[in-house]
Amino acid sequence: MSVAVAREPNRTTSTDRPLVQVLRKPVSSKVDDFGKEMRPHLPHACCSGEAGHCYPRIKLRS
Amino acid sequence: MLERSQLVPSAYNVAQLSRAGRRYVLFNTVSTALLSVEPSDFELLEDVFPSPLLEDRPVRAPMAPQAEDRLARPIELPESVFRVLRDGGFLVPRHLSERDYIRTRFNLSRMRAPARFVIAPTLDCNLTCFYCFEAKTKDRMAEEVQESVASFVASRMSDSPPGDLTVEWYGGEPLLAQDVVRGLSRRLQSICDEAGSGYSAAMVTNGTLLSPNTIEGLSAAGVRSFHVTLDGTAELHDARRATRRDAGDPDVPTFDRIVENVEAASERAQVNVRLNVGKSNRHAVGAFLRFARDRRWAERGIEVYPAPIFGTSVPCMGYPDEALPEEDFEAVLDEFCEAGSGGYGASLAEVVGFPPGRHYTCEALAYNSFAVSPAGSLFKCPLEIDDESKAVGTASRPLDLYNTNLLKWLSFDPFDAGGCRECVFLPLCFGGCPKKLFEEGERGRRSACRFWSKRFSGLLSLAAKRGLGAGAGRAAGSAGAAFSADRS
Repeated sequence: MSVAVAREPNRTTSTDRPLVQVLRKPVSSKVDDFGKEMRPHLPHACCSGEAGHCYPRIKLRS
Repeated sequence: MLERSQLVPSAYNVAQLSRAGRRYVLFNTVSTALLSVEPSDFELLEDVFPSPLLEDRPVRAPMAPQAEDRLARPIELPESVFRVLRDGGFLVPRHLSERDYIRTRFNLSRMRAPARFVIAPTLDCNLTCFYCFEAKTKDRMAEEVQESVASFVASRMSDSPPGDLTVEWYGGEPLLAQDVVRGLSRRLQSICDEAGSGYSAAMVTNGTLLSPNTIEGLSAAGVRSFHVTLDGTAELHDARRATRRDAGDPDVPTFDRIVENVEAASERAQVNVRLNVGKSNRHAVGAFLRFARDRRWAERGIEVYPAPIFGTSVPCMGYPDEALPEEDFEAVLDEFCEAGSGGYGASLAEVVGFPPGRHYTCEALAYNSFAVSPAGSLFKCPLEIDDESKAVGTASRPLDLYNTNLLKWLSFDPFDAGGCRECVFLPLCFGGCPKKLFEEGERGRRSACRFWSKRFSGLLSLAAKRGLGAGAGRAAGSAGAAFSADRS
């Protein structure tokens, strides 16, 4: 996905900087898409109780 | 396409000003769209985001406003900004009940999700973790049960929308029944081949038997990832998790063997290491993080994350003193975040699962997801797999809604509970763990509230940094629906 920007047409700044930057698109509201994605993890993370399954998991990365 | 006069701000909009005051992050907890805007431009948006939060402040679960409190006058915004907000779900139809929308999405998604299975080929184990929640038996899944399970999986696949089959091998220690894993994998892979579906598997294992030869065999059986648990560094781990006295080779230290196996497995598969943290090993989290850094686990793709030991069943209730209080686990999470910020050499603590990639709380709520015991009994939550009284059916018979356990899971609805009804976090947490809600009621719900109140601000900041770091023209978060934004 590209990062899209919305610019105010009448903006007069010299840099023409973006007004609103889109960092993440919304999920679909189309019924046909429900069930295909946006699924919880399998319960391997459930073993981690509240840290993994029900809530976001914090891990170390490089 | 709806006109301005037909749209109102979503009740689930959140704005947060960064610590340095340089940027507002705009988030919708229903659509999970994420935007960024400079403070000088934010005043344009104040009608749509009326009560901005401040970064790093705990959030007292803000209440979503009632429909009648919504903005009555037309929204005054430049056209390009209006479109971004509309397409991102920050503006919604005036007469839409957003709670009904979330509830319906929750139910449709879990009822339509392709089949998934957690399968325990045995509940036997070769370790003596004193806090284990399962009642051990020597039973292994018999041949005729494997046949029933394969038939049941096939029936669930044909009953659900097309999709790949995902299996998680569970236990006990599943590698004590490798023949069952291999045999049943072949059956399931064959079912998928016939159905034209993909197949993938993961395994929860203590890692003691995960030798290179075993890994090779499991790879052929479609196992792509392993989840291995440790209790700390060598001395502490070995004191807590030596081999069983009734095993052929009792009281053998396991730490070095597990580490060797984990590192070998990471060459061929994704490996996650879960650090079990209870009261008696809480002090050793830092030492373990240093160990992980020295072994360069993050760089080798081995994910390390902490998990609290908590009381969940009769066997482990015998050790109430070991369960880690939630506030103590919060401190462990802080320690991980701190380590991730550079203290132990890792450059970043990454958050997996925010914004959450799910429309319902837990896979146990999905109609066609089951945990299967060695006897072929079906469960929704794998944590209940040793307790026949919690079974929702059996693989050898059709599902029956007169089974009150099954009905309880399928009719689960967190949307009208008092504390959740008006909460802006509802589309993210759905009231928390259903098992906890069933068993602990309001207390279980409060633990979910504590997490989101404390962590939401930091999670939002991390998600924004990740998105901003992606830069123009690069991926910035998971894809959702087509999203039109004015580039003029």
